[in-house]
Amino acid sequence: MKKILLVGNPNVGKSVMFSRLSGARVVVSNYPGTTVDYTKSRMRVEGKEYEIVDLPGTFSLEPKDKAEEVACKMLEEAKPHTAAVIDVIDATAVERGLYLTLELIERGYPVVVALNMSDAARDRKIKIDVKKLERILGVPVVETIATTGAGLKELVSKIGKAKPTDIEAVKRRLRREKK
Amino acid sequence: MSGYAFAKVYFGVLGATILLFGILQFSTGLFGPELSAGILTVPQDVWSGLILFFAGLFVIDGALKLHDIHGLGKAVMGSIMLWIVAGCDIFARIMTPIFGEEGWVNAPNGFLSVFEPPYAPALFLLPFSLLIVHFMRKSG
Amino acid sequence: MKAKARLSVDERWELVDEISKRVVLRGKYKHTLKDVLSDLSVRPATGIPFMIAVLYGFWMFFGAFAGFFTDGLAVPFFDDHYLPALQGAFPGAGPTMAESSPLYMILVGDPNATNCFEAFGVLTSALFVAFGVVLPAIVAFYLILTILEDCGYLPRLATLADTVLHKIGLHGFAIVPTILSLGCNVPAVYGCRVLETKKQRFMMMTLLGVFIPCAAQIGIMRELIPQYTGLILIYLFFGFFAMGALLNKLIPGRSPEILIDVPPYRSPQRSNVLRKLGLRVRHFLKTAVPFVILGVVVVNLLYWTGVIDWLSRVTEPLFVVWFGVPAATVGALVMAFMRKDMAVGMLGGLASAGVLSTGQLITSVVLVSIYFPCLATFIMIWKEGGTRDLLKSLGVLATSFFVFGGLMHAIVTLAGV
Ligand SMILES: Nc1nc2c(ncn2[C@@H]2O[C@H](COP(=O)(O)OP(=O)(O)OP(=O)(O)O)[C@@H](O)[C@H]2O)c(=O)[nH]1
Ligand SMILES: [Mg+2]
Repeated sequence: MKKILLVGNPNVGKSVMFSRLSGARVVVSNYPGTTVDYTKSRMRVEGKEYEIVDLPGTFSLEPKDKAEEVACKMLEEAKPHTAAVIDVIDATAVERGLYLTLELIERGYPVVVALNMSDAARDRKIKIDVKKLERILGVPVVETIATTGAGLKELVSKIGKAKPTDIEAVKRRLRREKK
Repeated sequence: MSGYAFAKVYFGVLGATILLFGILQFSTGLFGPELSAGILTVPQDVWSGLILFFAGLFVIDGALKLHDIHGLGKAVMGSIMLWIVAGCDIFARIMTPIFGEEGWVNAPNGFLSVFEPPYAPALFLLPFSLLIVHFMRKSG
Repeated sequence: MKAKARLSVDERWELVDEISKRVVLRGKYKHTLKDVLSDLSVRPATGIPFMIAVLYGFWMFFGAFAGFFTDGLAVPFFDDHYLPALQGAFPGAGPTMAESSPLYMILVGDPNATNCFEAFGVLTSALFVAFGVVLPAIVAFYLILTILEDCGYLPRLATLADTVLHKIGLHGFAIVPTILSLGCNVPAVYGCRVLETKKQRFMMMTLLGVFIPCAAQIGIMRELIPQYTGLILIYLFFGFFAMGALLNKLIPGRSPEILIDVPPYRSPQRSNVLRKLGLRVRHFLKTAVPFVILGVVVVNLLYWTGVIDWLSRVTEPLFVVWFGVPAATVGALVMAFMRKDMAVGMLGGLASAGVLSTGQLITSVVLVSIYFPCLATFIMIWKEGGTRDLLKSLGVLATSFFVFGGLMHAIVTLAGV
């Protein structure tokens, strides 16, 4: 069975999203490092069954502690069976999230970006040009609010469109956006 | 601005009262004896005394610059500390004497007696501190 | 497929910068009340008094809630109605425990017991401790903990604790596993994975396993010796720091500093609070209750076969001279292998039967607390740290047991309790 992996920095809402998408119950708390092991469940997308995995948060693919190790190892092992990596980014701290996104792209994972906590970003007067980000990265980008479920339908509809791209192409597209 | 002038005095006085009771409660907690006057009784408890002491300080400090979000924040923090002490008191009142000697049986009488005076200072000051909620709303 | 280009760390950050410059627009942002409160709760001058208030509220709620269900409901029900009825109705009762049938002894326990702590049978003590005392404590503890977790207070507590914890080579974030450990040691040992170095993980797992009592145990302590529970907890925390400082000196390895990530305050969602509370209560019912029952069965069998009497005789000098407690405590220590809450409950039975004085009860509660991680925690440390770490942990444990048990004996003697 193909896998869908939930990846992202700590405390960005991966586990909330996992519960919403799969219906499984996992622990959600408002501090980094809540999830320290992976949890698997099932979900259906467009009639096809997938295995969806909630991973511990990580800042990069070079693990700094044992929880990050679990995430990186799972990413490594699941690579051949990965249908999509849902890369969850905290919209109030885009930079930290993008670092991991670029790493994922470099290693050739099929990525869909979920710009989560978009409600918090709006409150903080942070605007993100989703279309432009999508053009630069060359992968689908969806604004979501995991706690209310907003945007998740759209996110799921993009899972099928996830495909690998490479970092040189990202650089090229970035230069094009420059003018 | 006259609303704020009034509020500054109001919370200044409230803070001073909390502070005073905090000191009283702290020192009776250390040295006794229990003080009682009318519907008020000061419990002998060092910890809640200490908390009220700081709560009073924060409310006074906040009241001085209430128009500013930082001042308001401090007053709110002091109020929350007061609410914690008062909340624990109310909760303990509800939870302890319901069952009494006879278990659940005497609940109706016991239940009413729970809310009879005398009150601890935190409980007594609780309603007066609720005005801060108005200012919290106003700041959004 | 051709090899993909990889960037260096700096190049990657540069690229991130370029991208975010083009897509992120930051408007003018005014500080809100939430930000101010967030700031005030991590600054020591305001944060420490606030922390005291939060912990005070935690403790008072715990006491009132657990007290209501235990003293108000469970104790009258179990002691006045359930126990006498069961003692009368269950076949096989003799005039004393020894003269009763083995089945009666295991299921009901002492036919003359007047309370459920003393009886020590599966249907009496085990049920009473698990559902009458520990369950309310667990619910009360996790209700508050979950709210604190969800609003985001714990990382702020970590920031405040950072200075102190750094002195013993731990990162401030170690306070989070410590607090979780006050609920149950098992997920806390698991949570040590977020610590960076092997040294930190080993230290933390060991200190948690040795010194931090779980909510089940605290609940039963509060029931038995309410006026001393706070002091015992403070004593154990003192042990935590003293041993931590020592381990930090002895164990080679780094204790790197990292910044604590403090998320914004969020209002807890009721659905999440209830779901988590449900998860944790279910976890307790599934993993603790069987061990409580199994423990009572095993200990009763060991009594019956004379193993515990033999153990008591062998270890008597140690217990009487060094710890100042009667050898009868051995039974409770055997129980503590399986569940510490039930072990403390056993001590309560001994105290109520007049075998232990208050001072001896305090010392033996400390002994049970330090003595051995419960089976579940033991397995967890093994799984997370491996055999070597487990053995080292046990070494630390044995040392702590003698030192802090003996010290408590001295304190109790000097204080004349
Ligand atoms: N305002 C807001 N809060 C959110 C959103 N998504 C998640 N949260 C909150 O963010 C916190 C963290 O959520 P988790 O799902 O535990 O985060 P995680 O990514 O699994 O975290 P780790 O397991 O520690 O890596 C919780 O308090 C959630 O309620 C969102 O879209 N908006
Ligand atoms: Mg998680």
